[in-house]
Amino acid sequence: MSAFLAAAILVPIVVGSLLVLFRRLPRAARNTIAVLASATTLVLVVMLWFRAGSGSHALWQMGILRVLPSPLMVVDGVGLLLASVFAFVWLLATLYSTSYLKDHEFQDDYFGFLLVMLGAIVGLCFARNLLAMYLFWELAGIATWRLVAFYRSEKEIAAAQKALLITFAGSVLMLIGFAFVFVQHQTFSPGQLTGPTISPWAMFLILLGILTKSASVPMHIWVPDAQSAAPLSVGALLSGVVEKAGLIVYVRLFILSPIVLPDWWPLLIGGVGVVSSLLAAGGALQARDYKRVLAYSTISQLGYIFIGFAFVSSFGLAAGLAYIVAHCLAKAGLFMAMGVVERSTGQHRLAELSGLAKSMPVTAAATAVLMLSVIGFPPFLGFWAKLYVILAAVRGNLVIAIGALIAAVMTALYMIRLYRIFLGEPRPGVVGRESGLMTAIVVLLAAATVALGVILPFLGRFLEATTGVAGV
Amino acid sequence: MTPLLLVVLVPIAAGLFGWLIGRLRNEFSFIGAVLTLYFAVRLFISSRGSPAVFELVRFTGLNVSFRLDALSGFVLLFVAAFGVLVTLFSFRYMKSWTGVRGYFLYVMLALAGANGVLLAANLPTLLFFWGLLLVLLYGILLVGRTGAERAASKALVIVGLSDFAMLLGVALLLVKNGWVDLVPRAPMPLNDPLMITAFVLVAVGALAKAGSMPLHSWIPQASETSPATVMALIPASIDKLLGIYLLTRLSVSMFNIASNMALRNVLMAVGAVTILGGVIMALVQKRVTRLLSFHAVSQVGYMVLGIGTGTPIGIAGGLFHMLNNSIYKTGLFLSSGTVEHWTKTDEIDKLGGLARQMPLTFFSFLVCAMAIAGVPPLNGFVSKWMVYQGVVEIAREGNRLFPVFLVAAMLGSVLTLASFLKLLHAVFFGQRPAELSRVREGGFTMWLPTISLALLCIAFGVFAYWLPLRHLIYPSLPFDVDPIGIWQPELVTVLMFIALGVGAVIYLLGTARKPVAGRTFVGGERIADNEESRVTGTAFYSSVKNLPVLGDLLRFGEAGSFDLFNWVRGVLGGLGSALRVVLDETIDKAFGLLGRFVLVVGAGVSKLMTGMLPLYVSWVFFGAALFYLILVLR
Repeated sequence: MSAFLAAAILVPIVVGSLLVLFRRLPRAARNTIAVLASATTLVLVVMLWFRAGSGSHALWQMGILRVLPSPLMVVDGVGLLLASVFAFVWLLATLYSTSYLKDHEFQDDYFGFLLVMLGAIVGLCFARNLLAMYLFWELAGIATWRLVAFYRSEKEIAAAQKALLITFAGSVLMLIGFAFVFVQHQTFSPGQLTGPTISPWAMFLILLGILTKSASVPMHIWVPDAQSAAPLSVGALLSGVVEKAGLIVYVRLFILSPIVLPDWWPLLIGGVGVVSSLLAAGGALQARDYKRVLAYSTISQLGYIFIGFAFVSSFGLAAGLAYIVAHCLAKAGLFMAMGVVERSTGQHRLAELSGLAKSMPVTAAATAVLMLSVIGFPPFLGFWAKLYVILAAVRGNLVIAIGALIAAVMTALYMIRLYRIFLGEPRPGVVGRESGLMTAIVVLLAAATVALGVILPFLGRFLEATTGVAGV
Repeated sequence: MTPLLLVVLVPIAAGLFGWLIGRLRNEFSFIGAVLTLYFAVRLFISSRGSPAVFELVRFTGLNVSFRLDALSGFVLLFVAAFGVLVTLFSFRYMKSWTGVRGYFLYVMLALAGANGVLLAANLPTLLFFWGLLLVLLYGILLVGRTGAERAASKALVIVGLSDFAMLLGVALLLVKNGWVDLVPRAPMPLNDPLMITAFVLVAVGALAKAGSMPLHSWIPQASETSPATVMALIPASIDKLLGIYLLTRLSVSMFNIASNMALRNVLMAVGAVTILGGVIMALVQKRVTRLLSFHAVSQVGYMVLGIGTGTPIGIAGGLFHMLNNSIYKTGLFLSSGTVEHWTKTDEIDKLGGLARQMPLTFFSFLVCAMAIAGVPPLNGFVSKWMVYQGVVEIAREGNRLFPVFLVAAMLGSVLTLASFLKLLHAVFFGQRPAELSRVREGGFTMWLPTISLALLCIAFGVFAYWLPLRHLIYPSLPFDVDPIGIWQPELVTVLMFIALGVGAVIYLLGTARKPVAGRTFVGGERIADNEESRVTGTAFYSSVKNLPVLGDLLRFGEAGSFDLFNWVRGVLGGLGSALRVVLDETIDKAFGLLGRFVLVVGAGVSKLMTGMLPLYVSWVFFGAALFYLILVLR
């Protein structure tokens, strides 16, 4: 049992490190290894489902490091759900990258760090110990730094530095917060705290770290630069998966733990969430290239998830989790769709693109589906997620709920603005072209969004069981 | 499988098959539409009895379930019927358009979505299908001429805005009240501010769907780029039926609107403004479909006004007007589609004298136009008459505002008639431009739908009490409607026919011809193409534009000043940019300053690193001394 989990974490990390170290492999072999390694991870994570069963949390605990007085990892519904979705998207992104980046240098580096980051994310999904969390967290941060600077020009390196410095500052603050917890409770495991409260300072510092990684006001500023510098496949993973890392820690530490949150806490988190989502929606409305639109949109959507998590007593946790899954699939798909556009037209600026639906109808249709899911229209997955978040918010605080709805309308506005690149008359000289594998992956993600959106009501009981939080 | 599910699933399947197998697209669509009608008829018949409930799935306090009763049964029937007619009409009409493949898929899915909305037992289920319809609306509006995407985006934002308002309303109800059934055991009174807010929010969704002001602006814009069939199916029939269906449910079964006079006044005011605003804008239009689309907006006003009265007769009138409007408005859009299909234009100035070449289309257009103008004994008159009665009835409750609403409604009716006289004159009478001499009537797939709609207008007008009111409208409402004010359309019809017969006799006797004095037209002269010799349709009411206040308002309206979309976009864009500039850039600068500060401090500290050992040693001593001092002094 523990072997599966250890393998799911270690296989990608080890294979990835080897890829980075030994760069002489032929292209085909390297790509095959990378894809196989991420496929193996996915299979291992899925096998954990059958081993673990479902329906309760803290099913099974693993202690590799006996020196630490608490179990390091835990396999529970939340971890399994997120890890499976993330590994699935990761596999698709790896496949996608083999085609998307095939004309570029530094691919060994790229695929190596991609795998390392996958291992770190899977580890983070199941980590239960604060130090383990910190470890995986930093590993993902370093991989991000390398991946953002993939193109290695001045601008990209600057953006990567900015991302590294800010996220590192955030995680140091978080580490100080963890130290506070340890001093107070003599443990790094949220499950073994000696009392139900931790000091507000610790909470505040940890929150700052979480906000940095999960790109929320006021620690969000690395995201637009990093994501417009990174290749779109990295952008897909950053906004679909990596920026959810903070949320995972939030769930483990503040929701699925015995810590009693102070009264003002939901309002603070909800406030951060609503300000984030409004501000970033404004940024997305004004951004001039599609990479930045999507980057700001990610910040905005992360704000939404925080709103869901803020009012956790009712629908909150299910809302946030559904939103994480919906956003992961849809936003990764959107980034990859833009990758198809980028590769055939070489353009990033919205003003230069128009009428692409005529030359790339499949991508246009898939993009429409993904876009509508992000906006939150049925029958796509995003609808249920948004419905749950609004329900949670109305229960919590009406002002925040109204702010969230305004952000939703702004989402519709900027997504439509983005979609203009497909509509209207084609611009002479700018012709899109579908690209077999890449388009197929975008379509697959769109299909997943539709399929999950249609069957989600039937998964409702399952969600309740996984989260272990009672409904109304 | 129960027909409740089939009526939703069959059109989806038909649409998907038609989309995949393009060669059989028409066949699949038609079979799908007819099967849907078959199931709708079965459901309609079974809805005469007690309501049927079907629960699909239940979780976390929500449940997805269907419910069928008299009201949803009859609306379902008409949605399916319009589906069949529009599909039939589309076969020929859509041949000249691109994007036909997606079009038929969207039409079929829209039928499924509409059926889902009508069958939804609670608000979350309804919201699901409601949003689905919006997505389909976006898709179907993209099928069209250049510029269609602007209309589609506008529709998505405006209707999306109202959808989110609805979502908030539903969430409020769910959270504060614990139920969201569309038909609870007893209607709620509307006196708690929270309930009123929820009502208003959900009503916003209903009004936006119906196309009431100020949420109407996408309809005229879409009419310029979209096929007439899209206008006939979505804004003219399905949207009206669903929007007013929801408003009725909301005001009659969920809440008791009669219990709140202020809210009724607000609804009636919305109705009155919509009636007048829509019809005045229609007067100055230059294109047939755009003109019709403003009437589609204007007519909603009567329904909202009727339901807003809160009186049984008014609500019944509003509901009946919804039915009538969807019949004649679909007929009008389809007839104008026929004209446009054969003449290749819908600009009023380029049309004329088509009555002789297209007699069937002319007949259906004439009947539908008279029906919308409220000319007795057609159906539009009956329902408007009921709405008037509802307005008069609120006077009994001491409402001082009733004359305003009554005058608005009647004035609207007069202006509608004026507008349609202009249109009839410009399209079917007057001079025929030379290039239209070869225009003829289309095949039966085009005239059959329009003629059947026109005949329905006559039937529902002449036998208003015996057919629609008795079997469709009254059973749908939970209260008895006082039928005293119903007029006798049968008698009037007989009288009118007698009068017509007398008139015909006099005409045939030929003694009443009045000589016309003027220059003799001997042939060969050119007719000057100026306003004196040929009154074009658009110039018909040009005097309206020269009125002082009204003219300005019209100019503003045409320029988009009253367009909610522009307002929303402006306000939210401004909010977004303000937030971004204030927060985003400030934070970014702060981080930059922090970096600068670290660099400056680092540079200062590095100045101390001179590489001279004595200096370092002295620093160490200095530090040790400091520590010592601190420890000792404590």
